[in-house]
This record gives sequence, C-alpha cells and structure tokens, in this order.
Amino acid sequence: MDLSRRRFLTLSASAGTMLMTINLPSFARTTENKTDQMHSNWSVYLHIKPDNSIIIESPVQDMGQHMKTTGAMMIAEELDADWSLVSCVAAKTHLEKTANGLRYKYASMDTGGSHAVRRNWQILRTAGGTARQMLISAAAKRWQCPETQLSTRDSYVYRQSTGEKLSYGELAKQASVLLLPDKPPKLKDKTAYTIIGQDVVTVDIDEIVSGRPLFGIDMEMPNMVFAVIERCPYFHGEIESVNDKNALAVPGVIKIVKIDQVVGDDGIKEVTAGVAVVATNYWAATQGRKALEVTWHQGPWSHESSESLMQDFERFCRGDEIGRTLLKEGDPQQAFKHSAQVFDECYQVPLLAHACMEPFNAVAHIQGNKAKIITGHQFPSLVASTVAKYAKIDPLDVEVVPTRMGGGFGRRFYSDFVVEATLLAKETDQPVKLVWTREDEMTQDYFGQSTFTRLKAGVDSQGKLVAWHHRQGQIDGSVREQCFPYQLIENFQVDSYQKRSGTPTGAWRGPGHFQLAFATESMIDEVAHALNQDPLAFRLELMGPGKEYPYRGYGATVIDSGRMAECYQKAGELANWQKERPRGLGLGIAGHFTFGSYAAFVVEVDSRVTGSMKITGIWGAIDCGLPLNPNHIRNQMEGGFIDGLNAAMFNEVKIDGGQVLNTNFHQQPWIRMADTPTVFDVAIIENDHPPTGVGEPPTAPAGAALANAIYAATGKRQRKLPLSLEA
Amino acid sequence: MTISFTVNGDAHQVIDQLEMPLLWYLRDHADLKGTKFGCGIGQCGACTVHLDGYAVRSCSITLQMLDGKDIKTIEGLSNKLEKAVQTAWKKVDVPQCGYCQSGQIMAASALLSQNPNPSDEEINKAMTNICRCGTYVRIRKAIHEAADLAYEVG
Repeated sequence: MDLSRRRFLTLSASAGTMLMTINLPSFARTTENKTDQMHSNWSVYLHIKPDNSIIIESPVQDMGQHMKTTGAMMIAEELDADWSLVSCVAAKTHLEKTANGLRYKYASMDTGGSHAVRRNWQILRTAGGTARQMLISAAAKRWQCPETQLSTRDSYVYRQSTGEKLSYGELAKQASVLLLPDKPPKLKDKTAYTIIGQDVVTVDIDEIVSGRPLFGIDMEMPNMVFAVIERCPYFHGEIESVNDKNALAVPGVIKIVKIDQVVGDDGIKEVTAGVAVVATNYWAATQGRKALEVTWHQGPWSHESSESLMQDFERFCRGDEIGRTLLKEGDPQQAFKHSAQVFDECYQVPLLAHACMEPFNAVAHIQGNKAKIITGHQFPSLVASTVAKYAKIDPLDVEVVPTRMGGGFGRRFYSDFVVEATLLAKETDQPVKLVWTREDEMTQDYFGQSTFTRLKAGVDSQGKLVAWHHRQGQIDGSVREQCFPYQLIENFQVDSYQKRSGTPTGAWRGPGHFQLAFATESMIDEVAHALNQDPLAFRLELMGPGKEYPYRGYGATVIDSGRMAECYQKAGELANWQKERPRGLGLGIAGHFTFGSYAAFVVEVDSRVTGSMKITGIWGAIDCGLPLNPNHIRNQMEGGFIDGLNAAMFNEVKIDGGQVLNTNFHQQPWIRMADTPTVFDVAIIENDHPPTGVGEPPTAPAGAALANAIYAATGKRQRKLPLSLEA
Repeated sequence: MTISFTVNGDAHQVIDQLEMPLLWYLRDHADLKGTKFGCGIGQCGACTVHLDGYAVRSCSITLQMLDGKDIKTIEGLSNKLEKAVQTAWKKVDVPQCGYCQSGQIMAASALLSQNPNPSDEEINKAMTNICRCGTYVRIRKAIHEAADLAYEVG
C-alpha cells in the first residue's frame, strides 16, 4: 500500500462532525486538460455530520459566476447527496511549496479565463464519487455483506435484499478511517444525474437577500484600524511633497504612511505611489485624506491620452508602424487582387473600466513573521505570495481568508490593494482595514484594452469570403486571432502591433474577445448586407458544414464551426429572425467562441422613436457543453451580455495628461434597468461535450450584435464604440 | 447637539462626527453590514435604505439630517411586503455577485409599498440602482413576482 494513500481521511476535532479530506493521489488526473495534472495530491473538504447534513467547502472563488454553487454540485452529484441537506462555505486556503513555486495543497481555488468548470469537472466529481465509495464500504462492513449488494441515493446507503438503509451521517465516522479505494470511482452516466442539469439556486442566496456579512468589505478583525490612500493620479508618477499637518489634526487620525510606487519586471504597476491615512474609523480616515496636501511628480507618461494611443494604433493599421504577423495562411495580398469586391473598414474599442461593484478592500494583520489577510481575490495563492513578498515573510506563514467578491471581471486578478494592505499592516501592530473609494477604483484600474482594428475582406464572384486581413493595434494582451473566421477563409492574415504605454491595462472579462468579436462580426455583417444576403444565412454559409478545427489559443484545443452555427441558428429561431419587421425596427446578429463555449445573440433595436433608440428584444443561444446548472447559465447569458451592451453603449475610459478623467459614475455612465429590454430569451444547446465556462462567453458578441441591429434599423453603420443610440 | 433617530426600530443617538454619511454610521458604528458602499455620490444605489418609508441613498445623507427620522436597512425588513420581496428574490435567484442586491431589494420594496403592482415602465423609472453584473432581467421579474406574492399573502 502506497503510504501516501493512508492518511487521507481525518477526524476533525469538533464534536461529532466528520471532516473528510479526500486526497486523490493519482487517479484525479485527467487526460482532458493538461493543467489538471499539476495536482497529484488533491482533496476537497466534506464535513458529514451525524444529523446527515453535509457542509462542502467549495474550493473555487465566487465573484458572481456561481462557481461556489457549481463546484459543490459536481461533488454532491457523485456523492449521491441529498442537495437539500448540503450547505456550502468558502474553502480555507491551504498552500504548499514545490520546486515550481507556491501552489494549492488541495483543490485549485482560482477563477479566471472561464477555466474553473473545465479544470474541475473531472476532479470534483471524482472526489464526490470516492467519498461515496467509501461510505458504501463502511456500510458493507457494518452489514457484513458484499458492496455489490448496496446502492446509494439522497445521502443514504441502501441494502436492497433487506430493505435496510443507513444515512451518510451514521457511516461517515467509519468511512473516514478506511483506506482509499485502489481504483477511481465509476462516474455516473448523465441520465442518472439528480443535481447536475437542475435549476439550482445560488448557495449564498439567504445571506445575500438578508444582507448578512459576506464580502471582504464586511469583514473585521478585533481592534482594527482603518486606512484610505490618496494615490498619484498620474500613471507611474511619484510623490513630490506631502504636508500632513492638517490631516493629522483630524480627530481619529492616527498616522500618515507614504507608499512608493512599485513597477513589476513586466513594466506594469504593482502599486501606485500614495499617501495613506490610518485612523480609528473609516470616516475619520477619509476626512484626513481630504486634509492632506500632496503634490506629485507627473512621471514619464503625462503626455499620454486615450486619443493619442488610438492615433498610434491607427498609424500601424494604415501601414506606418511595424508590427508582428501572428498568422498567415494562403496569400491574402494576391487574393485581394483577384477578389470581385474588397471591403476595408476600421473599428475602434475604447479603454474599458471594470467598475467592480464592491470597491477593493483587505483586512491585514502582521505579527512577527506571521500574517493574516481577509480579502476577495480571484487567485488566493497570489494573495499569499504578494503578502509574503512585501512583508518579507514565508508565504506559508500567510493565512489567506478568501471571501465572496462583489464582482471581479479580471480586475481582482491584480493585487495592488493586497500590496497596500500589507505595507500598512507593517506600519502598525493592529490589524488594518484598507478600503478603496469608487474614485480610487476608476482611476487605478488595469483597463480592458482599447483597440484600433483595420479589417480588409475580399469576396469572389460567388459572394464567398476568400481573403481576410486583420490588423490591430493595442497596448498589450492577446488578439484572440485563433477565433473564427480563422480557418474558414482560405487566405488569412493577422498582424498585431503593441504599443508600450504607461496606461495600465489587463484582464477584462474574456480579454481580447469582446474587441475581436466587435470588429469581425461587424465586418461579416457589412459584407452580407453589401452582397444583399441575409446576415444569418451568410454566417451559416461561412461556417460551412460542421467541422472541428484545432485551436491553438488559450482555453480550448478545438473550435467547431457546426457548434457555432447551431448557436446562430437557435438565436435566430428564438428571435423569429425570418419575420418581416416594420421599417425602423432592426435585428442584428453576432456570435463568438470564448474559452471553449459558443454564444450567439440577436438584438432588436427600435429607431422609430424620438430621442434615443431603444433595445426592444434580446435572444441568445449558448453551447457550453453539458449544461451543469441551466439557471446559472441563463443568469450569465443575461448579465454577461448586458455587460457587453454596457461596453458597447457606455463604457469608455478617457485618459488625458497621463491620468483618468472619468472618476465616478457621474462621469462614467453605466447601463441601468431602463436601458435593458423586457424581452430577453435564452436557449441552452444540450449536448454531451464536456462542460465549459459561461462567465465570459456571453459578453463578446454584444458590441457587434448591437451595431448590426442599429444598422438594420437605420441603415447607418457605426464602427466606433461607444455606439450612439441617438435616433 | 444630539441627534436621535431609529434604525430598524432601535433608538440611536449621536453627538459627534455629524457630517458622517449614514452609510458609514450603519456599517462601521451600528455594525449593519448589509448596506453597501458603491460610489459615495448617490449614483449607484448600493447603499439604499428606507428613510421614513422612502428609498434614499445613505451615502448622501449625513447624521445631522436624521433627527427624529426612522431608518430601515435590509437587516430590518420584516413586514409581509418586504418578506415577499426577499422571497421573490430567492425564487427568481436574482443575484450574480450579490453585492448590489440589498440596495436593489430596498429600492424594490419601497417601490412596491407605494405602487403595489408597477408596470415595466414604472419599474424602469423607479429602479435606477446599478447592478454591475447586469441582473436587471431578473430584478424586473422578481419585482413582478413580489407584487403577486404580496397580493396573495394579502
């Protein structure tokens, strides 16, 4: 017997509660996805109590994408648990050091890139199935009968021959001292599912609707102090002078701490220069901040503006800057020469704000060489390594308590607020609670990429797309050139230009996909209309007979034109696409493949009104493989697409003089109830493909779907976001 | 100067930091964390509470304005209508991240107390809180659901 398989199940100290930590030394590995193989020693925490209730420590962080619910569903399904007896708590962070650096000792807790479903599907089910197998073994011992005579259902083990049953709660203690089975459990066929595939409600719903403390900003430590920070408004600027006399005179203000900026090796800011005010309460800290007199060195980027960046990207697209060819197949230049018609248009997306509803915050306490931090972050292991780096302690001496996040959207992948909380905790013996304001959040963002894209498309005399040349300028990040229409058009080229800049950019919900889909799906629409073809039929023709192509980008290994086509078709069906609409009412369609999932949407725009055009209907279809929780898939389809519409209509970060001009919602309007239609239907395409994520895929098609609908309603083509809905 | 008001029926008296917004008094001094900070300038509505029965944004109301007022927060929701709103929110499973939802629920219950059966247009006018996750479709549905539930429980 492999020694590493002996001590997997341990009794918890708490009276009567069984804590099962199920390590899966080898068979948790899956061939589906190489990333799963990083973990050879993996477990989840299940507390099975004598009263038969189960507490699952749901490993993956929740920022509204509902992985806290979905992850627990995967475990509970194979455990054959009664879902009504299951409750979920956020898992504790357990880390270990390896030759390859810091990693999770048990389940990966990270969320981002819509990976959590893909990467955890096999291992979380295997964990649940293993626990079930051990409960069966315990029952077989109790009844002195072969395991083959036993079955499980709704948190009970049944013995068919005698009609006896034992609850999991009665068996857990005995099960916990057994050795792990030699073979991985046989996982269920989907026809046997009782939890997966059901409309399951958010596990934190009671806490949310009753306002109980749940988010990082709600957390406290005894005897803590509060901090706010006045930060340099200029990108990569520094403190010039500080007069803190008046700030220190504010009742409640304890001390002032200067923070120097830190720029990472990649040139991206780790923390902005600032002056922190520490006080006995939050309001006093904000008053102290107001009383500070600080002057700033403007830094090396004070000449930069969002417009100057866009002009620079445009110069590349016009051929005046040198870029890099990411893809080249066939001979596009030659093909354009032989094309019957050539289209050449430019599309622009501005810098995008994250505006996470919960401003960033952290409660941190450092005592000697130990630290504790409570915060909501997409990658808790990064919190540990960041605190360790700035507190100069061992990462294993950092206790990270993760919380539900009030939005993430990629922004909570970054750790600047963790660095700040750590630096402040070093300056006081007491725990420090750092809270950002909305202005801090909007001015200190890592924005979604602004892009200038020039697309050239050639069609032959039969109206078939035969050449495509995509040129795109941006600060950083991926172009997502592996997405369609790549591999569907014979002569294909993508050139990219990246401009070094002081403007911080980073992950924004499906990084690069929204920008790519806006350009490509607008151009495809333009070509269809110019050829007098139905935009839906033209897309189906472009997809051709369903075929799986290799995908060399992040998040998938294949991309299937048949699955994309089915989404277009289904969205069209829901929208009653073929039905003649009155003049002035227009339908637009767009679809996209993001990180393994396919989504298409139809938008209806009514321009027959004075003032502002209105979005009057939205119909969407998604193929995310086997649907795990249709309720939450629909929720993401609704909210994710509305976020995309916000990016298409409102989201626009303006930079001038190397600083952000729009600092709060009065200057950065956001989509609200009245901007969204009462008609919003979603179809989930069911199939047996392995499940894939839904947090990002619904967002990407929104810009083009709306632009295409506006064109259909008005005959006017808009190629620059935010789109104008002036009628 | 002493300012006296009630929060969820409990008497509160304050004498200093009277320029402090109600939001921070609730969160950091009354330990009622359900009322959320979103923007601080009355734009987003995450901090919505009831002041004498009306929905207000607690980030933009200071303690000195509260003498003799009755405040209700998400933690104090108790009557049939308010319970119906919470039940509807659960039934429809409105939230994504959930952060703005206590403000949405406070705005919705104030709306329904004044207009027991609002039309979509009336909901659009009254519900101006930002949901960053874009759960508007479900918020609208839950308000109609709550109107039905409240009518049923009478």
